[in-house]
Amino acid sequence: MTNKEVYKIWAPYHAKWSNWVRPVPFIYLDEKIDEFIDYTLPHINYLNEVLDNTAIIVDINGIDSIKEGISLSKIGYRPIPIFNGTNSNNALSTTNNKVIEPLLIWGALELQKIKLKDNALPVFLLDENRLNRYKINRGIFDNSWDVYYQDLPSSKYFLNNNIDKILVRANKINKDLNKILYDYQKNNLKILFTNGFEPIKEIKIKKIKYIN
Amino acid sequence: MKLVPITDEKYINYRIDAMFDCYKWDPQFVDNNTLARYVLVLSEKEYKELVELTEKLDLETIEAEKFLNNNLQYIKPLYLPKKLTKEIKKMKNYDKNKHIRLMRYDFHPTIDNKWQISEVNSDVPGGFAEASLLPKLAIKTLKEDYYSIDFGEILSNAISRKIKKKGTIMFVHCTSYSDDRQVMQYIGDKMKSLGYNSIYGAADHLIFKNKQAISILNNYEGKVDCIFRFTPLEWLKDIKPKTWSGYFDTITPSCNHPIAIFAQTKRFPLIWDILEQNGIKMTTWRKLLPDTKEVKDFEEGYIYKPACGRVGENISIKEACSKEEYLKIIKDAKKHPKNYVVQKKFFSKPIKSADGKEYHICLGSYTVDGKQAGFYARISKLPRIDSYAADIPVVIERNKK
Repeated sequence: MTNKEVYKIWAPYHAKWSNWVRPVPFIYLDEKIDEFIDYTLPHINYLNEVLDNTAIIVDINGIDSIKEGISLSKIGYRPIPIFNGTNSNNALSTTNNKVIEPLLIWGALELQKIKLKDNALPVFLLDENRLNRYKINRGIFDNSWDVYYQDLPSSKYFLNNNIDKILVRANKINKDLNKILYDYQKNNLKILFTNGFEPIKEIKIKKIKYIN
Repeated sequence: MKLVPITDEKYINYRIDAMFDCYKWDPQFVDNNTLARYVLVLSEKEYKELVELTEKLDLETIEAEKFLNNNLQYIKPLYLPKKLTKEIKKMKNYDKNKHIRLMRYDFHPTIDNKWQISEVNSDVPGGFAEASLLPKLAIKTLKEDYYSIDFGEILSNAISRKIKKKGTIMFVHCTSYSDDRQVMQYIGDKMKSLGYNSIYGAADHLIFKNKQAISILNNYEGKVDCIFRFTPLEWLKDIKPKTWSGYFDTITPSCNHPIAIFAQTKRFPLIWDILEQNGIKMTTWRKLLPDTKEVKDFEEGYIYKPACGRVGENISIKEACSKEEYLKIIKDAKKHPKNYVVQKKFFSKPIKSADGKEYHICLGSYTVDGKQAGFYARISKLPRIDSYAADIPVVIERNKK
C-alpha cells in the first residue's frame, strides 16, 4: 500500500470527520520499519456501544491510541488520527514520532475489514508522548508538539452535529488539551473522563495558564 | 482575474496530491478546509501589472531599509522590541549582495477596481510549495492551457548563486510546528536536489564564532554556509541562552537577514515622512497602502492592526470578527497603543466564481532580490484573510492571439 492509499482508508472522502485526519505522519510512511509491536486489540472496558451524542478523544501513548481507536471502530466509532509530530531527519530527538507509522499501516488493514457508517461518531486519536520535550543537551532536535484548538472541530460544529459530550480517555488531562476542553466546556459541551478502567464520569475542567 | 472551480470528482485526488506531493500538511483549520476548490486565474495584463507594482514596492523597501540601517536615529517611531533594538545596532556590516532578500507583498482587489496592499511579509513569508507545486498540480488537474511562475525554482536559483555548491544550509524554524516544517521541508528538499546539504534546526541550534554560524545539532556539528530562517525575529529575543544575537552581525549569508525587521512592523509607514525628507521615495507604497496612523489618531473608517501581527490575526475588521474578539482588540490597542497602528479600511471586492459564490482574495506577490518571483493566494468568504482562509493556486491565462 502507498502512503496515499493508507491515508485514504483512514480518511475516506465521504466520511463525516475525515477532513480532520492530519496527513503529517502519513507523508513519509515507510513499510519497511522493523519494530516489534504487539498488535493485540485492547478490550474496551468503559463502553460497549456507541454513546449517543458523544465524541471521544483518546490521549494515551501513540501505539496504544491507534489500537484503541481500532477497537472503538469495531463498536462503531470512526477513528480520526490527529498526530502532528514531524521526524527529526536522523538527529537525536525529544520525541519518536515515527513509532506510530507501522500502526497506521496495520490500522488501515484492520479498518478495511470494518464497515463504518459515513456519519459514524468520531474518536480523535492523540499521542501523549507528544509532550516529551526534555533535552539532555542543546543539540537535540525538539520535535515534541502540542494539540491546538485548530486541530479539532469547534464546539459549535460539534453542537450543530448533535454532539454535546466529549469523552476523554487518558491517564490525565494534558495541559494543551485542557485549554481546548476548557473552551468546549465554556460553550456548553459536557466533558466526560475515563482512565480506561474506571467508569466514565463527568468532570469540570479548570482554567490553567499554559504556554508551550 | 477569475475563479475556476475544480469539480468534486477531480477535487478528491487533487486534495490528496496537494497533501502528499505538494507539502500541504495543514489542510484543515478548525472547521475549515484550507485547500480551496478553485484556481485563481490571472490575465497576462493583470500579471504584468502586479509584477511592475511589486518590483516598484520592493525597490522602495530595499532603499528604505538600507537608509534606516545607516540612520538608526530615525527608527524610534517603529517602537521595535527593546531587546531587538539593541541588536540592530550590530547590523552595520550588512551587504545586500551577500544575502538573499525574500519578501511577499499582499495585494487585495478593491471595490473601486484598484489594488491595495495590506502589508509586506518582510521577515519570514511562507507559502512556498503553494506558490510552486500547487499551481502545477492545478494546471494538470484542470487540463487547461495555463502557466504558472515557479517560486521555488526562482528562490533556489537565487540561493545557488550566492552559496557555494554542496554547502550546508540550515533551515531554522520552530521545530515543534509541522506547518513551519512543511515550508522548510519543501525548500530544503529543493536545495538538496541541487546538491546542497539541507539540515533542519531551531534558532538555538546555531551559535556564532567570529561571526560565522556554527551548527550544534547532534547530527551535524560544524560550519553552516547559509541560514534560511523561518523563525520570526520577534520570537528570537525570548530564546535563552542569548546566542541569537549572532544573527544580527553574522557574515554567514542569510535569507532573510534581520534587516527585514524595519519593514516587517506595521508601524513602518509612520516613518515615511522622515524617509522622504531624506530623499527615499515611497510613492508606490503611498499609492497602495491605506493611510496609516498612530492609535491616538483613530477616526471613523479606520481599523486597528497589531504592529507585529501575522496571517491577518487581531485586525479589527468588524464584520470579520466576533464581538468578543473585536472588543478584545480595541481594549488591547488602547492599553498598548505603541504595539498597534490604525489604518484606513479599504473595501475588498469579492470575486464571483463560475458557480456563483463570492470570495475575497489576498494575493501575495513575492520578490527575491528585487525581482518578482511568483504568487501565493488565499480566499475567504469574509473580507479578513486569516488562518481560516483557504490556499488557492495562482495560474496565468495566455493571451489569445
